[in-house]
Amino acid sequence: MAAARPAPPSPRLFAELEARLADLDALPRGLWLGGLTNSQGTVEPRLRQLLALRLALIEGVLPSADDWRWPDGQIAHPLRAIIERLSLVSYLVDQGGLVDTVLQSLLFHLDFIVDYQDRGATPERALQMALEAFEADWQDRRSEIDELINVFGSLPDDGKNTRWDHMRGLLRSAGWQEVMRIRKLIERLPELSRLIRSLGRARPTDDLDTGRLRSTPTMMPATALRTRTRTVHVPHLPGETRGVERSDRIARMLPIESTLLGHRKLRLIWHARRAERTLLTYEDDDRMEEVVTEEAPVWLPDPAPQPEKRQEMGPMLICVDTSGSMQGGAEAVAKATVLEAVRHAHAQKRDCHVFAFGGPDEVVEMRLSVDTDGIERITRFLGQAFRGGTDICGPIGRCIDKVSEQEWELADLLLATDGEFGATAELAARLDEAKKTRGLRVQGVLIGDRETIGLLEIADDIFWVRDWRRYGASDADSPVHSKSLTSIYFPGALRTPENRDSTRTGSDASAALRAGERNRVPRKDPKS
Amino acid sequence: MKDTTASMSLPDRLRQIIATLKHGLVERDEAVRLVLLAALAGEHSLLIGPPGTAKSELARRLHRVFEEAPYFERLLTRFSVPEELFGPLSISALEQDRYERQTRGFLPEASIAFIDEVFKANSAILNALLTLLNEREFDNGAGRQRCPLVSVVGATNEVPDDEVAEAFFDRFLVRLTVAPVSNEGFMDLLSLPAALKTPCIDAPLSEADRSALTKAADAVVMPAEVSELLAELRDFLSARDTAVSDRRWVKIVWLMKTAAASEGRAQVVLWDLCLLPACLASDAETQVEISDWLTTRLGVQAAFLPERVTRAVEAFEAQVMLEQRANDLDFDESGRLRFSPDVVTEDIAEGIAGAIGDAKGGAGATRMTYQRKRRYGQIHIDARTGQIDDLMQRLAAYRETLQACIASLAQFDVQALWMSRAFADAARTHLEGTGAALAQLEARLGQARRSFEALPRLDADPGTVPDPVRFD
Repeated sequence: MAAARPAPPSPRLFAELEARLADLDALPRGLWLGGLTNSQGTVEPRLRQLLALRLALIEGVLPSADDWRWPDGQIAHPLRAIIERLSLVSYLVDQGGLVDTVLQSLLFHLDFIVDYQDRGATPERALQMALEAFEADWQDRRSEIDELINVFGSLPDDGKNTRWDHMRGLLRSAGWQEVMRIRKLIERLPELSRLIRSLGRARPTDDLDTGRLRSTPTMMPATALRTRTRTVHVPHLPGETRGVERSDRIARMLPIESTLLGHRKLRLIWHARRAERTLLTYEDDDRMEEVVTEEAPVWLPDPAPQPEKRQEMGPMLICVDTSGSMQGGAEAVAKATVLEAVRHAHAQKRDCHVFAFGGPDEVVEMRLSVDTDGIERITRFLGQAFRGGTDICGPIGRCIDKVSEQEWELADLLLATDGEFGATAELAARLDEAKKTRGLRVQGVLIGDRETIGLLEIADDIFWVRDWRRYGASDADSPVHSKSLTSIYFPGALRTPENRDSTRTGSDASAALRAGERNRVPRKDPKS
Repeated sequence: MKDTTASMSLPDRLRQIIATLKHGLVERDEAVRLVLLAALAGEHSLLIGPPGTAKSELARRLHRVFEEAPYFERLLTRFSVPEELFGPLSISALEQDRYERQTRGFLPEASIAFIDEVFKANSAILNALLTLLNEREFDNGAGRQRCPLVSVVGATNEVPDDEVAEAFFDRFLVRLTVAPVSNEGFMDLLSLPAALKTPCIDAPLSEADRSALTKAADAVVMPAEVSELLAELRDFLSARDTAVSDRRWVKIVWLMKTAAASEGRAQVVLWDLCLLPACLASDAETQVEISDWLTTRLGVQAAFLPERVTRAVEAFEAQVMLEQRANDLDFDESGRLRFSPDVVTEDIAEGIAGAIGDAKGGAGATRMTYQRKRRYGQIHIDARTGQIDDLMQRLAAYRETLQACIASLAQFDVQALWMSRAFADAARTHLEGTGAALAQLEARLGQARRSFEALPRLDADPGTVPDPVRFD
């Protein structure tokens, strides 16, 4: 067993001197510059205290200012009071990135004390100014953090490298207000949230998916005969002479031993040696190779198809219908679906890609990640109104392309639409192919009043948000709909048991349509 | 002639002896030194190398170093019998019912022995040989015979890897790979006289000299820093699965003490560690690794810059660059100077690495169209230069440490008997290189200090109310 190679040794020539700066290695690099060059105090206590503070804050503890080695008590006491007053510590538990940002900001503001003095402030006033600036900074940022956590569940990028100045502008935009409103909406749609969580195929769950049998190569244990060669020792097997040894073999005896026999006294020695097996004799190379067969466990492939485990997690592809017909409540639900997907993706570190489709060639693709740029994209997308046509073929085609990329191989497709579209026969065939070969699953979120053949054809499963009208910001411009009105004007559109029995199934109808037998679709068999 | 050399001090005599031993041997400097040192410490050495690399010659010369040292030499084959090494059975003793060997003139009565092809020893010989090498005793008949053995030089073409060989192999403290001469040494080899006479040692070491040396070595102090380094080395070796027996560590310490005593020193110093690779590893490859580890740890492998203090210097360089670029318009909408980590300085601070947060230079990059250089006051600049002066002092301490190291090497080198020339030269060169690198660091820091002083200054406050602006 080869142990891992040890790290190269550090020269001990300057070891003692270098050890004084040892805390530098443990500090994140973002704190190096500030820690080394800050205008307050000296390097060693500064680095030591930064490290101690960082570890304590990540633990969720704020050490007493009396124990701080840096900055001096005059600064440390009010500084600690500020951090306590802002209750920053509760935000910092386990948030290494955010702790670093706080410490960077701390170094930044304390470094300005000398500049305030240069501009005419007394030392006390300069200190006061620096502390005020620090407090004001984090006062603002704290409320921004609150909002972000409220929407995304946790801080973007773990609080690292958040471009606060940029973020601030973003959080004040009208788009963000829309994000906040949509965020509240999700709370009223718990099933939708559950559904999105179960998307993806990267991780097997405990339950079996009996619908999908696949002959994946499963190995099962078996025993088989195996042959190997080994060397055995066969005493006295004549062979090549290897050297000299001690034994009692007269036949292999060295000549020098036989001289003993000629002497009256020494022959006794010879006999004694022979009895004690210490005669010097030639040593045989008495080894033989032989082949043995033995039973050994092996693994053989099991030919029977195994049910696969139901999968979840993994990347998500989301198609959102942004056609004009979605305006109002449906639009809000669609946006909520997207936001929820982004939230889950962020919390579970999954990838998430959104296709917003409108008319022909009107596909907007977005990779939605929770970082400063991603938040900006989300905000912009959620802030805009939906208008446009409905061309499903483009985005679905793009999705199928994407699933064939390795990164998105395990993705599932979520389709949020009002269902008012139709897919071409070619596209349906392509999708079927992708489902068959790649195991793609399509989850529909129907935000409308009726299932259409187009949607039925495409989706494996449909989640129907029937009460979408309740989520609209204002539904003044949409006609008052109710189930009874629909039944008046479109008696066939409702899925009553009578209607079901008297119509064909979507798949029958589409099969017939594809076969071109528009007028000769067989009636549904009443028995089935 | 003989009297004068005998009256010289031991180190001087040894120096002369080494010179004589080396005479006429090309590129056998290290082997000569180590074999001699092992003999002085009463340890055995093993020379591993292809035929015709002066292994036997070296061993034969060794016995001349010691006065009245019975010498024994034998080439072992697969068919060698114990009689050849330990002497024939004594027939007269046998007639008196004693089973004894006649050891006179054989290995049990020799002081210095050379055993060629030592791994050819068969089991009939091996066990007796192991006890003899280790305990310097020989079982002869009813009694155990004390042997005057000082040192055995073994020679072999290659080391077999079986268990018995391993036990045998471990008995040799110094294990040296002897390679054929290099291309550079080849010319010297060709110019050697055809019949090379084994040189004569003027004043061989007497029994009294040896016991005096042993006594001196006993008194040699092992400083803690050397012991600590040995402990580290042990960790390093166990991490890479190189087993070194406890017995061997004890012997190694003794070897270092003997080396110190023979150079007239009262304590072992770090530089003595350069003897270790041959004692710790069995193959040349591992020896090089250990040697590398040691030289790196001693700081003499290559000119090096202490990492952390270099970071500190780079930090000040980065900071001055930031402040030179800083823009007074980097304020956010609430009128505070911006603090935005990560926008900054990726271009500047590769060395200090990563995202450095400071907005004194920061966010300006995207809004360069209108900018006003930031200005600095005396207190700001004093604070910076104060920090730099502190760092300068640190650097001075580094320089002092380095000077001390160079001085100790020079001092060691003057009286060194066992350190090879090549090692000493390389070490000195590298230490000087480190000195140059430190000087460069100091220069960079000085430059940063000057740059801070040259930052644009705030206008001095005139202390008066400005004149009212006049309207016409």
